[in-house]
Amino acid sequence: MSVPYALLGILERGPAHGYELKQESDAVLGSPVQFGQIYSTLGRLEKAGRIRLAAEEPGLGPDRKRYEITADGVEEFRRWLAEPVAPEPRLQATLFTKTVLALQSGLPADEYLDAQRAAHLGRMRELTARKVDADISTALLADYALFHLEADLRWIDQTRARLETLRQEVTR
Amino acid sequence: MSAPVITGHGLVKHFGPTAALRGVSIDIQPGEVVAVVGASGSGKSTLLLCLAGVLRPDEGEVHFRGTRIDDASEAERSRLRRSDFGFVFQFGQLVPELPAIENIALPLLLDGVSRREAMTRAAEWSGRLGVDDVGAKVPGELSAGQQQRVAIARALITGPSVVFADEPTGALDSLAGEEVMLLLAGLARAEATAVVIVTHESRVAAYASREVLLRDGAVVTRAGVA
Amino acid sequence: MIRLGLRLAGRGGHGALARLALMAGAIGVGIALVLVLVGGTVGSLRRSERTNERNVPSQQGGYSAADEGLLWAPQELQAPRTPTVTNIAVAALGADPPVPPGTSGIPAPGTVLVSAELRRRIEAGTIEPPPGRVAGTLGPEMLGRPDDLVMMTGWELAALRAADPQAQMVASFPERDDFTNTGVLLENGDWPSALIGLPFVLLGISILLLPVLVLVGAGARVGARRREQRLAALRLAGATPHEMRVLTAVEGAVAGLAGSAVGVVAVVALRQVAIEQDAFFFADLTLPLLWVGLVVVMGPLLAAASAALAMGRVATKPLGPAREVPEPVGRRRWSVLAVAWVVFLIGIVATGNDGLDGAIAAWIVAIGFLGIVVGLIVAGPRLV
Repeated sequence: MSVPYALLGILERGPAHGYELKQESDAVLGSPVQFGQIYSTLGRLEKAGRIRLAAEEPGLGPDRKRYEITADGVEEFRRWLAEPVAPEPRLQATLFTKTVLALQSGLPADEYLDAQRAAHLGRMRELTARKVDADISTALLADYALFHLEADLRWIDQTRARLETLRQEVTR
Repeated sequence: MSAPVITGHGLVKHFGPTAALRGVSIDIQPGEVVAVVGASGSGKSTLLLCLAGVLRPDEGEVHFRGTRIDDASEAERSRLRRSDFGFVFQFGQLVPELPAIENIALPLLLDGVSRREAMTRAAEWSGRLGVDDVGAKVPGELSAGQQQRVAIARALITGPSVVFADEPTGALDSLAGEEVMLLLAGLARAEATAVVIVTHESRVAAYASREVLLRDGAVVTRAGVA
Repeated sequence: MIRLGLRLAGRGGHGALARLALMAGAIGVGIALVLVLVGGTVGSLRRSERTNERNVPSQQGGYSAADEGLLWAPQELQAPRTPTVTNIAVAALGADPPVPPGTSGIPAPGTVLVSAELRRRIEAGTIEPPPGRVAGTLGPEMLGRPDDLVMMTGWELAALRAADPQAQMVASFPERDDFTNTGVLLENGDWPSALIGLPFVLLGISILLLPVLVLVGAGARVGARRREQRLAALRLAGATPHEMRVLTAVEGAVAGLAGSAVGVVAVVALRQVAIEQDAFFFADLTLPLLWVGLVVVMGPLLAAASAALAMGRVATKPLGPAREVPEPVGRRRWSVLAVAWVVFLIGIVATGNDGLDGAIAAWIVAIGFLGIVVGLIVAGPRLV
């Protein structure tokens, strides 16, 4: 789900080859992505005008194609970063990805995390309001989501507190 | 929007060389539940105690229903504590020598209410909090969850305008904490009592309609419901 | 409010009971010490005044043939394997000699007046009969202890003058309100020259007060944490500083009253023992009621005052979790006690010289003792 944005984020820093994109997006997404998916995503992004081919280097085959991001792409990437993800249990590594990408691009990851925190809390408030004066099954169902949301929040707070150290590590 | 029931304006508080609050302003509307959150040492408890008139801020003002309270005498502020404010702390707030039912009645007894009436109201509130079966026991004989429910009953028996809660679930396991928060939120809503609750737990903060985030003694964000 | 305080004082469980017992014990010991020491000293002084007055009457002096009076010649009779008997040989001079206190009349020559214990032993045969016919009993005015062996023998004037040329004549005996006071040394006989002995009494008291302080300190440490919790809880529930002072003063007063009761009971018991041992006459051990009342009331007052003073600091402390250990006594308060102690000791040393210095020294001592008491009240909040 975050693959296109991972690619945009990597390209936001500067043009890159398919191979570089594959390696870096693996690290950022937390799990490996197939080459095929990378290339098909690149194709879609190009079609949507978010990226374009950079000046070709003389070389052998499509690996040598370099992509670069467009102004549209930059705008789209930043919008995606600033907009909180719909809070749902188990965002997988999306939050991690967003944080790392933002740090690497020198963008305000702390603000993004704060906004995410607020969104999570808003959702938790909705769920909790349902619990007051409700029956047990309603309360427990809400609790299921609440516990997971709490886990996310804990991660957010922890990451927020260690943001500087993380930034130094991922921008090496 | 009606007038706020409690306001703190530009509150500054130092403990020796440490600055616990560095200019915090906050408004609490009647009947609303506000969570004050932040990491340890962010100044949450200090803010709560300043708003409740327990601590005097070094700078700034606190107003309750339009009247300034931070410069009131200790006697006046004590009277506020037994008629307009209720307190639920993490622990250590019940008189060890008195049985639960008398602990609940204590603010009324201090306020001069007749013993009979005080005990009647205490019995009613201990029923609402589900501790009427242990009313004769002293705090040492109660579980942590029961103690907190006794504390809530004591906080609410005077029909306060504001309940100040500082980590009310801190000493409780998950289930007991859940019960305590449901009771506190439900009863406060029923009595239209404002609640200011200091917590570092998000599931407790979720009981509030908005939260005030403190970091290093200053307000960082105010996340609210539209 | 007082009812609440009483209820709090009574419902403490084991910790509070132990605390109450220790503090009451401490106050009781203190009161008993003061009363016993002062009473004992005063009793001894009264005793020795009587015997001094008997042996060397204040109104005795030289005489000529024309004078009227009573020749007075005390002597100690000591025979092997018999207890000492004091014998006062008297002979009338002139037509109307003064009647000695403790007698209904001067014994005629050849007759003897004996003390109660002496009479008992003569009748029991454990002591040799005196020379002469036993004509009557010597009253307590002539005795120190109730069981003293004293007799007064009547002599012919010429015979006594020959037997004891040094004997002097007593012109008159001073009036006495009751037998205990000779009426010689002070005009109002309630306080014999106690001022001379008082500094040493106070020294003894202050030395013995040390275990009292230890007991008070121990009592304070017991249940201190729970007390901190209680005070914090009361403050949170909205008790004003004044109300908290009243509550804790009540607790202190309860301990003090218990202590007074303990002390008085102990003193009365000890007094009974002393009287049954025939060491003292009952009247010797009586102290002015006002003075006794003052000491007895001091117990609860001191306890309540120091408890209430302790509130001065707790009422303004910020609320927080109860501290684990009560703070040790502040350095400043110890130095107040130390200064008072030094003043007190100077007074003791100064009293070593009698005369003019005596009165001043007594005052220094009194101030020093007061200083100790004040120091206790000031430091007491830390202890109590």
